[in-house]
Amino acid sequence: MSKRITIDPITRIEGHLRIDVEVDGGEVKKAWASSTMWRGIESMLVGRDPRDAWLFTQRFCGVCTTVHAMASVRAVEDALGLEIPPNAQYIRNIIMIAHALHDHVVHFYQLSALDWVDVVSALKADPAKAASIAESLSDWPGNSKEQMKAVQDKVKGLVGSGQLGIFAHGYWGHPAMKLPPEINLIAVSHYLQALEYQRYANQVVAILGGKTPHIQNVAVGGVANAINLDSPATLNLDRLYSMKPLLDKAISFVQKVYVPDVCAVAGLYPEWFGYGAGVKNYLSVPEFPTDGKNTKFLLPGGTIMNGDLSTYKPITGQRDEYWRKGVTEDSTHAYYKDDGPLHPFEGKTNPNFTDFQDNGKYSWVKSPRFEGHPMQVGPLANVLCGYAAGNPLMKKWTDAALSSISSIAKVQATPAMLHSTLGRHGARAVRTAVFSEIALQQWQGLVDNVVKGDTAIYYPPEFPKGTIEGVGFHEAPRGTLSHWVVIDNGKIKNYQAVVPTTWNASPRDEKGNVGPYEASLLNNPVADAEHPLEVLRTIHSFDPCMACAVHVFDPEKKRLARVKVLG
Amino acid sequence: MSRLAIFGIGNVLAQDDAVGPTVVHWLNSRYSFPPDVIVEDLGTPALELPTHLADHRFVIFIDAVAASDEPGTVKLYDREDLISNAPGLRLSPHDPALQDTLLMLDMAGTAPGDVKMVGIVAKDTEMAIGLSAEVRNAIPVAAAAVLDLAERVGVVPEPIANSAPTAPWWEAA
Repeated sequence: MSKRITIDPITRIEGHLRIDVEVDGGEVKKAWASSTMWRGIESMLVGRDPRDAWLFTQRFCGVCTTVHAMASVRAVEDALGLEIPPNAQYIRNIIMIAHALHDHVVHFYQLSALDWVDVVSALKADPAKAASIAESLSDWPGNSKEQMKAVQDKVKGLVGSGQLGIFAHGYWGHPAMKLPPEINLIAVSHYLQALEYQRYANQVVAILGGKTPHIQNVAVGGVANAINLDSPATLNLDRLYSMKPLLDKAISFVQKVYVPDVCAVAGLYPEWFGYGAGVKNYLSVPEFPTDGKNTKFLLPGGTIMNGDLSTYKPITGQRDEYWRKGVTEDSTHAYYKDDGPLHPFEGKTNPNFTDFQDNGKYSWVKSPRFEGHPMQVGPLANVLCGYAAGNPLMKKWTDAALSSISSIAKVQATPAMLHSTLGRHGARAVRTAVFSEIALQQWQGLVDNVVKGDTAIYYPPEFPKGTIEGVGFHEAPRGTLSHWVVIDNGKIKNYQAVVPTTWNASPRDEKGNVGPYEASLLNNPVADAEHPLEVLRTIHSFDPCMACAVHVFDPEKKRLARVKVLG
Repeated sequence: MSRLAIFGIGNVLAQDDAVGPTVVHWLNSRYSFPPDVIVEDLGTPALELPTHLADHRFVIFIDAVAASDEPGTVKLYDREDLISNAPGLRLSPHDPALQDTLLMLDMAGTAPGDVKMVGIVAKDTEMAIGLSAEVRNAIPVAAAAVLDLAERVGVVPEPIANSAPTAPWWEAA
């Protein structure tokens, strides 16, 4: 007999994502991803000055702030055909890279590791053995026997007090938890260290952005970081060099802790390379422009269809017609009138709420499609496109991760295995490692350019009479983000944000095709319907951020993952 | 390590949820705080909250809360209120991020020495700009509560002479 399980909400951070699955014979047979609250923020921008839009867009959401500032200024610059100075491009790039280093590390340790790591099991570990395993994986200095023992004592204290504190929400002793006690101890130890090291990346964003979250330094036309090597109040050499040790520490943690940990967890749960593939069409956009017009980039983006890397087709920039004309949003199964599909420049946001209808409307998230196809976005799409395009850094770190996983799992790991729940975690680690290399390169580029005497940061925008339209994209931590703006006589006429979680959490479209979350859950095992840990594993591997796709207010105090088992 | 950090929390585009950032704007436009005191609009910090919350001796949050009192009521919460699941006490829309972060930092040993929250009971929190009249009237009360807490740890800011406070940018733009 089939059982219906509803998990609402499923994110460990603010947000409103509801997942419904039908389980039969210990496997998911049907799935629905639904966002339960309306966003409707875009309409707030209509009539405003396009130069102010980025201030508002980075307040859209409780999780991704910086990324909406970047996509917004790029959209307005694209509409104007406005170039920005090299310093501005470097500064924006460093901010986006540091933001991603922070975000990805937090996602693995604080938001998803507890799906795989049994904290209570760490009590049974031998600290000396844990230290020697950790030391065999990397030369990170924070893995001594004494440190492992100290962490174990902390966990012991928590368990003894009957208050598991931050770990109280985990599924301890669940049959799907399989890591040896020593690996659990290593992971808990790094969970705590991640809290320290993520700060260094965050501080880089704050130095350049003025503050974070909600950076203050971008502008349509460039950045507002005055550069003067002789002034203590501006971006000078002292301030530039103050970022170097912060970047070094964050990079070291990524390469010596995060990447090895993900490979170890993946290698010890090899069966999870067999679940969670879902939609194997991938979309990513190129990132880290190296010219002022956003036409040349450090990393490639494009599309891959049906999981076949040979179908890779590049997207060359925001003006590429393949990209610009390819995106639509459909509302057949979303709570809006004007079902669509509509191009974002023509996009509408008129609510039409119904109850949750399995075969009708059931979500506040629209269904974005690319040339009519559902697409998966995120680090996996980014890495697969980079790999297919032959990008040297993407190849280097992907091959290194696959080789490390192979030696732990004692099976030959291949790129084809990345179409999976664990593949998304692995790709996120690969992407972070790639960024860690680019970070220093961009920092050096900025220093060299400033030392050379270039202090330009901004070219002023001028708005023409009549209607112009532009798109700004950004390959954000959760995937391809795009802002689409129509400007009429210098004022915003229409504004649509097509956000990564909308691509991934999209409901069925007008053709009945399911979205990536929904597809990824099919055939997932569920050992215990009361505790559907496996569903959380697959959904969390996408790094869901419903706060981003929807409005976040939740007046009731809810458990982090309230599970209802219905008849 | 700062002596005191005062953080306004909330989405400035969600009506009364903007009250935390609004009180910070109110304080910063009327008072000059010592250099080892942080007074900042954190907006919706989510994943960045651990970074901001670590290594302070004392932290005061200002946030909209959902409680059964009249809208605009100013309430004071202790650290225990923030981390426990006391029945009847419903905190801000930013839960559980705040609770989780405090517990995480406890475990890591970098939690603030003490934490208080000045909560203002919200009326409307739909996506729109502008506070309800009840919550707007509560701004000076909430600010006074913050200044009172600050004084308890020896922080007394200088009033800015001839200050000419303006509306925060999200209301002015």
